[in-house]
Amino acid sequence: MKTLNMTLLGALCALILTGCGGSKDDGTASTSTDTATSGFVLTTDIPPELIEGTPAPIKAPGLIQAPNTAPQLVVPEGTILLSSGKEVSGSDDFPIIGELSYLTDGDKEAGEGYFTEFMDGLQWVQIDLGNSAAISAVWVWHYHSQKRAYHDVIVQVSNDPEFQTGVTTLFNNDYDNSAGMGKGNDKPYVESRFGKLVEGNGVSGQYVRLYSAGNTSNDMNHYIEVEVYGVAQ
Amino acid sequence: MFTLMAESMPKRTLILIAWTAVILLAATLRLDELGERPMHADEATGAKILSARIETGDYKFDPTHFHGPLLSLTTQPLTSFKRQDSWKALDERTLRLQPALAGLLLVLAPLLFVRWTGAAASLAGALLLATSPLLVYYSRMYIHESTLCLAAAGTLAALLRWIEQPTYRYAILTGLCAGLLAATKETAIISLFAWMVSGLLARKLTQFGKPGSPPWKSLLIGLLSGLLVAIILYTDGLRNPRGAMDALRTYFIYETTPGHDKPFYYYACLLLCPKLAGGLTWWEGMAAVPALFAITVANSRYKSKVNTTYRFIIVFLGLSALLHLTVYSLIPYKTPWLMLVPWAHVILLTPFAFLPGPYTEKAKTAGLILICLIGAISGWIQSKAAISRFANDARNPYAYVPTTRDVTGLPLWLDKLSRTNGGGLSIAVIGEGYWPLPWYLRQFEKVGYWSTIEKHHADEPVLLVMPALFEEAEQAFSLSHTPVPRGLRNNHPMLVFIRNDVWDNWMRNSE
Repeated sequence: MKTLNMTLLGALCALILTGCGGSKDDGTASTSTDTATSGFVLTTDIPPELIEGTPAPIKAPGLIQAPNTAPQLVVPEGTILLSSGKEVSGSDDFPIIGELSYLTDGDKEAGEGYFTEFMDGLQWVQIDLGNSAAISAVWVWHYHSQKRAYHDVIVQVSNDPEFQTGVTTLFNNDYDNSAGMGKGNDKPYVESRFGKLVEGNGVSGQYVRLYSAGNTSNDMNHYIEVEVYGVAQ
Repeated sequence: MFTLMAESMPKRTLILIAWTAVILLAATLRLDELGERPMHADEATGAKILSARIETGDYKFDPTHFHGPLLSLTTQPLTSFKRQDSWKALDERTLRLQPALAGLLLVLAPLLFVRWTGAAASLAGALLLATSPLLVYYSRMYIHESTLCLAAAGTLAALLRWIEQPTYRYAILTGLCAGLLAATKETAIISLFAWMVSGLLARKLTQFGKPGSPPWKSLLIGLLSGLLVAIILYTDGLRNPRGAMDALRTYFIYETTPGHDKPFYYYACLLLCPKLAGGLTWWEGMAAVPALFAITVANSRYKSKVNTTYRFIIVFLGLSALLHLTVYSLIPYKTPWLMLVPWAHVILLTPFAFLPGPYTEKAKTAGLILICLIGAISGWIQSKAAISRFANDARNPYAYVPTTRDVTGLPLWLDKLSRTNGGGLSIAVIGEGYWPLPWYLRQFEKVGYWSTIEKHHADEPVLLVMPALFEEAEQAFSLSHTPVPRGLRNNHPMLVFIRNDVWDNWMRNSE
């Protein structure tokens, strides 16, 4: 069921200036180009739609504003997927469901057996890339079989495995500072099969840490997949 | 206690030590970290009713919803002791102490049957009552069920005593307990019906009692005692006479909230079907094995070896449990806590399984003790999970529509938001189904509740919008406010809209 199949078609798209922008709703990866940045549009395999689960006693329509296309980001030449199969650690070493290794195994489907569930409260997961790299992007799927938003999503990069020094925050939507790491200006977002694509801005680091503190449907923290893209240093 | 005194000294000591251990175990499961779990919507409404009582000194029964007066009445001494004299001053721990104490007293209920079962056998029932995840979980929730269950156990014991010996004293005692039961919740009528039918059937099936006319005078005294207690409580000590009539009207005008209809087999499955969720098997069916054994023996070809009084009690309790389950199952509206009374019946049967019967006593006793221990250990493991890691998780079969922890942080943030904007921010809650928000917003002075979006809401600094109005709110406030999603209850998010100037002030501020 492994679906990881990143497609880097920058060189091809550089030749095709029109007619291939945007992503398709069916999840098929598509490409475009931006000759001005000498990079390429990052793409990945998008998992299929899956809405499941027995309705709760009081069924709510869920949050609105879930995206219907894959996000796009131009990344530098040489960017590759760095996190595949890499070691994952976390604040909750014994997930309620799943394994820490699920986060980097390439499976992005929504059902049972693909996501890892961590206990409630503020929890983090951390990916050790093995070596320091210039991070181009972090693409994260928390859970996408229901429209929900995760609270206090914070993505940080550091060369310190303890995240005590040299920490750069790439994304922070903790608008009320409940996680205690400073208010974040990034917007809360609704989970979808397209995941959340966070710009890496070339920040250098060996470790990528992601925080969350429950979601709008329940108190638990979930991850299906985290992909870290960058240029190896 | 006379049965305990009849035991030898070492055995008596052992029984006392075991009882103490069971009570301590029950207390740990019921009293530890009572304030941790977020407030359930029903707990918040119960707290609101209580606050009206403690703030005004009066009680007015609402026959359309919200059950009887005993919960708030018996919580009042606790709030007085803690000097919590208003809606704002109440806290979770104080409120939940009431059901926790009722649940703890319920563990002692087998002692009410000890004249028939003996002190040692009653321990088995107490142990299973102490560790039942269903009973433990709802002993920690500020709703009526724990009190209802305790009143039911008291009524049962008094009723059985009255059936055995229909004196005025036992009639009054039964009436007193039944009156308390009726003053707890309108579902008392289901128990009264189940007991009446079960009593008649069990009497016929077991040939128990002397032929002749029933003790009408004693029965009448019992009924009048019960009525008197219920009337006094529903009328708030006769200060609100309408309460008595409303206690009857409630059976005709009670309004249930939608979304709780479930199939007939829901309760049977809740109690007896194993459920694998969250890495745990949720099942407390083992606790029913001694009860089934007692019922089987009492109705087997060996039944002549069982004392007629015991047979009557066993058949009566078994039929009563079954009738409760059937009646509740026939009602489409179902919530898991309604199973407390029938399940307590089942566990109260446990000590009767130890009564002399057709089998080798040692082998039977050893087998039953083993079953009770397995049931208790399994129950303890599930109870610990149900009140800690899964206290607020819908995979816990007893956590019904739990409030998300996210909402507990909302008041703190709104308070900070208010202070960074000069204080006194008004909050508009828009839409239906917003409980327990009033509990979490009780410290704020300016909070209003609307069922629909109104024009003036565009000027309000903080809007808490319920799911049915998400799309409409997004259109109405997209230019004036910044939306952020929050959780309220399981699968029930809300959108918080902060007016843009208030939001900008907040984001600029360093707090």
